[in-house]
Amino acid sequence: MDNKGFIFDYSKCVGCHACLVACYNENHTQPPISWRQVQPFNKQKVPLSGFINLSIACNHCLDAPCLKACPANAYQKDSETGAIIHHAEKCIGCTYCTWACPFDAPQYNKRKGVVEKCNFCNERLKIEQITACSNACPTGALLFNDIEVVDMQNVPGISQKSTRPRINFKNSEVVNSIPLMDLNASGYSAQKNTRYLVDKESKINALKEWPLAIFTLISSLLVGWIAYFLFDRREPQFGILYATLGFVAMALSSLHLGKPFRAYRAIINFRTSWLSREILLFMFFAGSSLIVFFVNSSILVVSISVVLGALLLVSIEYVYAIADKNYSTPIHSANTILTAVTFGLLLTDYKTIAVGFIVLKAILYIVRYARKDIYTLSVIFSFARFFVGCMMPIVSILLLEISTSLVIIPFIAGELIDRLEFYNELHVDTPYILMNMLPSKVEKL
Amino acid sequence: MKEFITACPRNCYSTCSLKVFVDNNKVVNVEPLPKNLATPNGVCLKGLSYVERANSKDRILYPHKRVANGKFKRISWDDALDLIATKLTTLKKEYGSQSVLFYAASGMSGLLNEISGRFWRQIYGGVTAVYGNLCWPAGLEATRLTLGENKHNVPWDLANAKLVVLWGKNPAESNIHEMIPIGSALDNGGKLVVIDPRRTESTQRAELLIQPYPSTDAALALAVANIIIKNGWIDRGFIAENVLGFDGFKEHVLQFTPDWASNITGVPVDLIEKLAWYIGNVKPMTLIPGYGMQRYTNGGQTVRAILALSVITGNIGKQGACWHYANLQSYVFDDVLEPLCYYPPEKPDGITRRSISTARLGLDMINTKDPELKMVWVERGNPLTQNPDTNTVLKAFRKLDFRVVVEQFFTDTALEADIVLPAKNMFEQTDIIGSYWNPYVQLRQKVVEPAGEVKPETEIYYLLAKKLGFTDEQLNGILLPPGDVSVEDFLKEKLALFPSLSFEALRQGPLLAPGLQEIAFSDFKFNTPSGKIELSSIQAKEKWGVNSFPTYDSAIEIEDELKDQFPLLLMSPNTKNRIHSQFGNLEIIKMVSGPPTISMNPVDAETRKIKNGDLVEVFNRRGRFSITAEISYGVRIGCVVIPNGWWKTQGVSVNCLSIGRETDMGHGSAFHNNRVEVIRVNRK
Repeated sequence: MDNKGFIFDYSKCVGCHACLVACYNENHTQPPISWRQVQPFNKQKVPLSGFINLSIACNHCLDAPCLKACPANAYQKDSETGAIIHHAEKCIGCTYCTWACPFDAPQYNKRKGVVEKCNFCNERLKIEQITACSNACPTGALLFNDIEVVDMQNVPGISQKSTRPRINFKNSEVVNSIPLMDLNASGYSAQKNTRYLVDKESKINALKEWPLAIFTLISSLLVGWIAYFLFDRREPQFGILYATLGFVAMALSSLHLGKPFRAYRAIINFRTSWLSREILLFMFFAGSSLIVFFVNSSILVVSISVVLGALLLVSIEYVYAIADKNYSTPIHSANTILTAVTFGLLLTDYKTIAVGFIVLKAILYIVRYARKDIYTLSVIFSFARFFVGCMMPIVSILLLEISTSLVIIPFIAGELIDRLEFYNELHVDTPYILMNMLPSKVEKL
Repeated sequence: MKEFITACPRNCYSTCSLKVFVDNNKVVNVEPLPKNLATPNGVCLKGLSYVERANSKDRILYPHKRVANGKFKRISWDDALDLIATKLTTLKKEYGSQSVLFYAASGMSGLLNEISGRFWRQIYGGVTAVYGNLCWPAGLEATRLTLGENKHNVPWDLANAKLVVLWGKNPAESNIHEMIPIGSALDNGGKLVVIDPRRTESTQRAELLIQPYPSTDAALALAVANIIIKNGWIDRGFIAENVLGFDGFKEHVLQFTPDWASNITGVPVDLIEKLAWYIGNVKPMTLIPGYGMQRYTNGGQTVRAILALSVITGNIGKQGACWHYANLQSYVFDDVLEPLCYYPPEKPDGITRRSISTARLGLDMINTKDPELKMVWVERGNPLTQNPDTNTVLKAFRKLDFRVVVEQFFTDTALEADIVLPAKNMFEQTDIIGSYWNPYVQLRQKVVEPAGEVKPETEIYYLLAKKLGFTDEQLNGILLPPGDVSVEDFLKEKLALFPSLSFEALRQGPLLAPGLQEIAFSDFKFNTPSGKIELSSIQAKEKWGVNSFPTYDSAIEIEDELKDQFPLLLMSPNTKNRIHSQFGNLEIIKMVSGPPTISMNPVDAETRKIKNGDLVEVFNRRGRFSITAEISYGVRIGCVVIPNGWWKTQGVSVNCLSIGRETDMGHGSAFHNNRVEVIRVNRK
């Protein structure tokens, strides 16, 4: 059954949206949600550039990233048709699958608090009918038939991620088809031709994901704090503060879900989902570190807690590795491991080593900042991040030798800004983005 | 779940066949019917949206009466018909029956529409009606004058063309199924040339795009004819055999030089020459003109000029060679074919007064005397959105005493009514339809019982006649008594004339029209006065007062003193998202189409300091409204585009900018002659 799938012909699709309406009829989706989308390239008809449309939904990949990423096992592969089916009743609304899918197939339904997605018209396939969208395509641009599953199809709007989608593409070279025409009548400018794009909210951004920014920042601080006990063997202090931070982190990340009451499901898919592993490790780490604070702070328990904490941070980094990065540095200045190490060192007497790490963070930040679009708000935040979060601790440590808390507070403030910015520097390559990243041709006819 | 075969009755080229699935008296899905070779893969997004349309919560399911402050109240059929009957009786007594205007448009095709005319004429005893048409008469008349009748090759023959010329047509939006054979022609090595002020979705695979100013197409065509004749790229044999007036035409086009045309059309000379080369040298050519460019005051002559190119190159009556304007071969039931049936009678009979021009609906309604109009009955139409000079039409409607509108939804027109009667949809009564593009006769089957208290028009008229005091016996043979039997009998009687058409066979799918010529004019018989293709037409001169040869006369308003005040030429083409003003109210269509926009070229936008997404005001002396600007290089400099069919309640009433004028021939509506200006509105 895996040898059946979509065949899309760029030269036959005129962007008529019949596929989308057929899907609406068949699956009773509620606008504005649509399981299938039609993405145009060069809708503004910039001269000397062709234009195309891409009709795309879930391609029921043989290596489905959504299925692997889902922490709650809400995705299942149908044994008969191979369709990747999303079960809304199991979904916790974490939207992590929407980050994993390169085709923008899973759609988050705010009203319902869960994701929904094309089901390959599974019931139709089971009775030897083809998908409703292909069945309805008036021009034959979208077929459902025998395909050869290949990876990395280098065609417009399609990600190079290796997911083995069940779709083949034809005649993508039509994107280069340009008629002979009068450029003067078209408003063509030799200097500048603008393609106006629809402002689409990035799937990952700080305004949306701030609870996760706080969760991950608190995680790194807590891990650094525990690691500090490897160096300082005195009785742990501020246990209540520690526990409160841990609780806040957990609460924020749970409330962030579309279905908070199903949060417990988040740990089910630890076999393939880094998100499950992250949650599970957070719980283990939190448990062990509370033992350190309130029961037993022996070096063995501290070491176990530090190992669990390190694994937690590694899993956090893997969770975000699924997204595409807008920054160019090999690691982000708000990397959780880097933050944990720096913070741990700041608590110890080896503060000068901490200064080394802060300098490294500052360099990473500056390199990244140099490539950013500059606007007022970003200047203010960057100023705060750099001077309050980096320079103040450095100066305080090296020149003023003032109390630790006066170093830590500006450091954490800077880290918080940086961590929030991290979310703005991630995105997911959707067909919309990839279509619009196609180059406009500028050579003369 | 039950499965039926039916056909889409909209005013659309494609006239798709479709399968419809019904569960528990509800339409639940729509699927393709490959039997129709012209629409084998299925219907468009609008056809698919019937599932929502048929079940929409916004549908009018009961008679309504307007109460205070523009609101409507549900009333019973009995009350509604009583009110109407009383009004009809009083008006007839006081002013005469012609004080009532019967207005029907192209909202739903079918043979049963004939019953409406019978009611107003034979039962009510006469009425005022309109002549002319909003759509395509100028081009129909131009074709009739030249070729004798309106027919073309079957759509799938397009695949045989080596040159496809889309002249002012954008099938990717208005006739999506035509893109299938065009694609096949291109896959077979054919070439596509597009002439359109816009770079439309249909131009994706075009080799050449010519963007003349709107309304100047005749100048372009005449210059192309000039070049073709000068270079000897004509089909001498074909001309000698089949064409009347070529020598005169040859002389006539000498004056229309490429330089002259370039000046008028804004198309560079080298591109005009390139176009002439394609048309003169790549054969066979199918030339596909659209309907937009004939809605100008020079529309008929424009179409004659373009058609001349098919004629002189011998691209008529052969495989892949065709003038693809309108194919009326499936209109086998009509006594008088379009465009002749649009014309006002030469000798009025004093019963039905056909004196109001569709093009000038508002003005003519206001100016009608002896008797003045007191009431209007509207069915299958939305004149307060679609007719030119909407503000005047609105004024004319409001001047009346009484308005009845038969509708499925609360359109701009229904909202002006005193009584709104719920209209059937295409699934609620059986009828027979033809197509003006594909060659099939089709059954539009009843697949569900009417929703709510909906009654088909045939039944409404029957009940109304009873209210007027007629007995069943008196109505026998004129109107159809309620029920499906009378409808089927009526249709079967129509079919009886054609042995190849039977009701039972039509239930299984579309049937080719009796007497169909797959390749139109392949017998080289032309139903013109001379029996030949008439490049020179005495009829044109005598009937319409135009030159016997095709000429270019600048369209009114396009080249006059308004040029500086209103520098932009407004185009209001059809969008794939609607058929005129239908479908735009559905949730799924709203999602796909987004809010109303005006598309304009970046150069025109920049001079007006307009940015993409800005709120702008578009206006001329006739009307104004606000709308969002969309910057597009696809629109020629000097033009702006607002697709027609938005409702005023959606914020845009594009025809309040247009004016009611008649085309140079055919009593069409020249409502594309519109200049406007656009300015940026500062958001509050």
